[in-house]
Amino acid sequence: MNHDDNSNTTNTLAPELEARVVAWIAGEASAFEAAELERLTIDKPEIAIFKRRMQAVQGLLAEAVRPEMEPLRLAPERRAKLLQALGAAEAEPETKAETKGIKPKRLKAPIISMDAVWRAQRKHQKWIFRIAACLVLGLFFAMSIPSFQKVRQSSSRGRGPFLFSMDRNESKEAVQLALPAMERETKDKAGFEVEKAKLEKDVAVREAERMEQVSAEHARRRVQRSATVIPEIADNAVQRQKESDEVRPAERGFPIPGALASAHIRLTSKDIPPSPSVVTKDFMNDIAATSTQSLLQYTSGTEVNGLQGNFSAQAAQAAPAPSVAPAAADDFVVLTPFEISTSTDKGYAAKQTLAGGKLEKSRSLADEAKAADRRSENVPKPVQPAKNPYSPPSFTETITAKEPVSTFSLHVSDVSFKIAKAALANATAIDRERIRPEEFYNAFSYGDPSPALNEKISCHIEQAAHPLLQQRNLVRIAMKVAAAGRGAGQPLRLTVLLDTSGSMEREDRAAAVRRAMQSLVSLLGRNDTVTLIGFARQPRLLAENMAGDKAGELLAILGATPAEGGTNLEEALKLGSELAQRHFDKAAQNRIVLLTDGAANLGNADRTQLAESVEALRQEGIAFDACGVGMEGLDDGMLEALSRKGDGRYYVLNSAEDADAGFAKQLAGALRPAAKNVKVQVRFNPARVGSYRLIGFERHRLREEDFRNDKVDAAELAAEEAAVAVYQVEPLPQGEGELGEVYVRFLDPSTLSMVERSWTLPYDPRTPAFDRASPSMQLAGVAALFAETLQRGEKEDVDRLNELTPVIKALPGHFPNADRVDDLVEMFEKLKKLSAE
Amino acid sequence: MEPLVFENIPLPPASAVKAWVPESMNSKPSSIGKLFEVEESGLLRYAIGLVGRRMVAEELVQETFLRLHKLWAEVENPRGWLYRCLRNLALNHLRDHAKETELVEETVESGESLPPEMLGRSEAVGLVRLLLAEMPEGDRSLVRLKYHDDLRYEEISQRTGLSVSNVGYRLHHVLKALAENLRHAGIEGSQG
Repeated sequence: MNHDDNSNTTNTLAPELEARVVAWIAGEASAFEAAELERLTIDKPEIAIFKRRMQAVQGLLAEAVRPEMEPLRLAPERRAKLLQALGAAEAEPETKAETKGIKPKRLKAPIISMDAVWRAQRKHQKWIFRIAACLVLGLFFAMSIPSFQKVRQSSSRGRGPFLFSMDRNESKEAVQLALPAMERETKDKAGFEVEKAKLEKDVAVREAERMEQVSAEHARRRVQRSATVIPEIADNAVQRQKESDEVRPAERGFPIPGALASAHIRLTSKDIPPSPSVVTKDFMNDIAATSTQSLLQYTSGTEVNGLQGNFSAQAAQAAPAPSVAPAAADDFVVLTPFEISTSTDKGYAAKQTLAGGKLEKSRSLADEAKAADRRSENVPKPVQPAKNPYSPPSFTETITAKEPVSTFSLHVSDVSFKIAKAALANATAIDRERIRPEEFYNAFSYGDPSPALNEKISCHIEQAAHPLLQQRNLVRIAMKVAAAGRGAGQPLRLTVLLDTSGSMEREDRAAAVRRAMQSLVSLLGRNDTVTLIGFARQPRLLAENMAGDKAGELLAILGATPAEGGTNLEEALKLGSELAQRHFDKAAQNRIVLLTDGAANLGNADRTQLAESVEALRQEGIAFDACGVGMEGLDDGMLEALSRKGDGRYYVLNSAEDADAGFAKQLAGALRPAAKNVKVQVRFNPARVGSYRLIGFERHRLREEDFRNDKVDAAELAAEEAAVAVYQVEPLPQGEGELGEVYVRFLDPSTLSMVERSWTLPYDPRTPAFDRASPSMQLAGVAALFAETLQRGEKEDVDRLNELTPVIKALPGHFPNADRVDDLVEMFEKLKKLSAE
Repeated sequence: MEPLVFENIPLPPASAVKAWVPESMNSKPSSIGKLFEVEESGLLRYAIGLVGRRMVAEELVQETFLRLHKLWAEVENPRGWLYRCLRNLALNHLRDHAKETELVEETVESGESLPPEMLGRSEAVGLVRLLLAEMPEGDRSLVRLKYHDDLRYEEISQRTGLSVSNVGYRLHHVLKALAENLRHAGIEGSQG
């Protein structure tokens, strides 16, 4: 199955070999690689051929891309004329020395030396009159005599002497008949054609567009006879241009070309408004602009659709930049569009409801903004996106009898905790606005039990006496989602180890792998990255850290990768773990996926040793999935062991159909959030609870009726993610019944159905004292109280918090491996110190 | 029973916005004059390579620019258009003048009688420029980074955000496609 090197030496090289050769000649290959290729070149002559071809192309490319040593230029006269013709299009009287490449019309002369101009002018002085006449006549022919058009058309088919002479006769007549009409024609139509004819005249003999040429030739002869026409036209043009500073003064001896040349600027732009390639005063007036600099900018590739079609107002761009996000750069809370003002007097009854998305730990503000954008695209917009950035939290309790229901979106984040930590560490003032208690007590992992196998979500409820207030209890409600997937916002760092050994060449397996990769790629977003490693005898990096939205290219790479050689899993794992570690992202889900069809037959194939390396990876936070392709020869036991050790999944693809149904579904679990739109509602029993207060979640509170309104968006939870809410309640010892009930409702993305569960919030007449409550209750309580102390920013609170010092000091002992708990203790110490100062 | 909804939908603002947002790099040059300054030499060389005579080449280049000038508003990729147009004009010229023999005076006058291998080279380079101009922007910028800025794959990777291997992969495809096109045009490598 895993036959070694197959002698597949056809004329076409394997694409990856080609790529290597290209890298080689591009000087990218290492000495070792170069030597290897050298050796291959000797073995296979077609490599040498390919190499030579590539070198030739590379030489040409280099030459084509680099600026030329001695740039060739058109002959000076021709160049000047051409530039004039072209330049006329963009000479903008208002932009004086703005354009760099080509000067405005007035400054055009310096492009070629004055000397050259002078000489050219001398030489062509005579011509200029003729040219002017030619084009006048030429245009006249073109425009005014339909019969001539016919001749034009017919003559363009061929250029026999017969047509030529006929044309001559026609045009002679025409000129004599219609001379008076010429002025009018000129007014409207002199323009680009003028310049063009002039140039054509200069060039004298040209094959292309020969009829124009021919007519010009004729016109010239005519003109010599009726030269008087020209001054008239010229005068006319000059008059029209009087107000324009474009008129060439007569002292240089050729008023006519100047006048004509400038005349057409206005005319073209006026006559052909749909595609103004010239900006004139008139044009500016038309669009009510005052200066080209401030207003007009050429844009490209636009359809011509009206006067302004080709221009974009820079002013629009320069318009005051959209007010910068109110949050400072280090504020990760980019929930602004979703934020809602809670009204202080009404307690929890926020007007609108909004969800906070889950904020990733190490994402930048920009990422968040993007994510927010995306969210706002996908998610049905809240009815009234309120913009009130902050409303101070309400510390007042809600009277249960009046309002027994508390509803909120279960939002999990630890950003606020981190911000506070940084602020305290630097002893800088804490922005109270950024203190969100729920992000404090949700910053910790409480080790709550996962839901039972057939449950989507579990709920864990704990209580303790409030350490600082009389007759108040703290209630911790912890929800945990089943281990089924990954948070939507969590990027994926995927490393795919793809077996490219010879046995994978089998068509069914190749198809299965292809389908599997397709479904994999389809699940990747732009925050995800993929590294693809193909391995046979040696692992080879096929794509490194490719963005998820570009991952479609993987399929092309896959198609271009030949299958040959044995299977060296050890080396592949080594490279895979190296790369996975290189691209390791703490905030991301880091996974290695192995796709293989057989037993490792090269290198160290010891199952326990491989499993050990996978386990080591897992401890670094990199999960390992294994996917067997095909049933025969599969080292089932090993793959199972590897994926178990790697906390990953193990699946088998037997055919392309399998890749569709099984693989994609399983992957979907890993790449998508396990619960969407998670809302919690606590219904307190007024007979047992006098008043209550939800600590934190100020911005995530919902109206009671929104709980079952699935259009109202709420937070998402990833697999195995726990979310905690802490309530402060006033139990009534002489009351009756339980404290209340907890409802949770969310969208199960796997079934797209809403799931609702409820649990009883029991009344415990012997609620433990805070220092005797469970460690998780203590931790949550301390975090909540600490956050609120920061939020209030009052010294008395700090002093009161002091009473908790023994409990706080003891916390790290309960959570030995949680750095966060140590952080909390440290923060507490800092706060004490700061407030004492 | 739905009314004709699409009639009520206002025109999508997206297209309008798009037209008004100036494309950043590699879009159409702001003016034909600038384009001329940049491309004059390359085009002239290409034309000389194609037709072999300086005078004719200049004429063709001039004609090309004049034609572009007329169509400036419509042409989206003027650089590619210029090379393509010049090539077509040159081929037309060659076809129409296949039976002409160069007069001695003209050669003397133009003073530009290049050796055939130089002509071939110019033609090939011109064709490469043409193909470059018509290439997708991403590929072109890779070529520029590699052969103009002389960057290594790694540096290109850093600048573009593509992976190193992807840079290699794409450059390989670019080169191969170029080779294919050159061969198609009857140019095998630099030897002309």
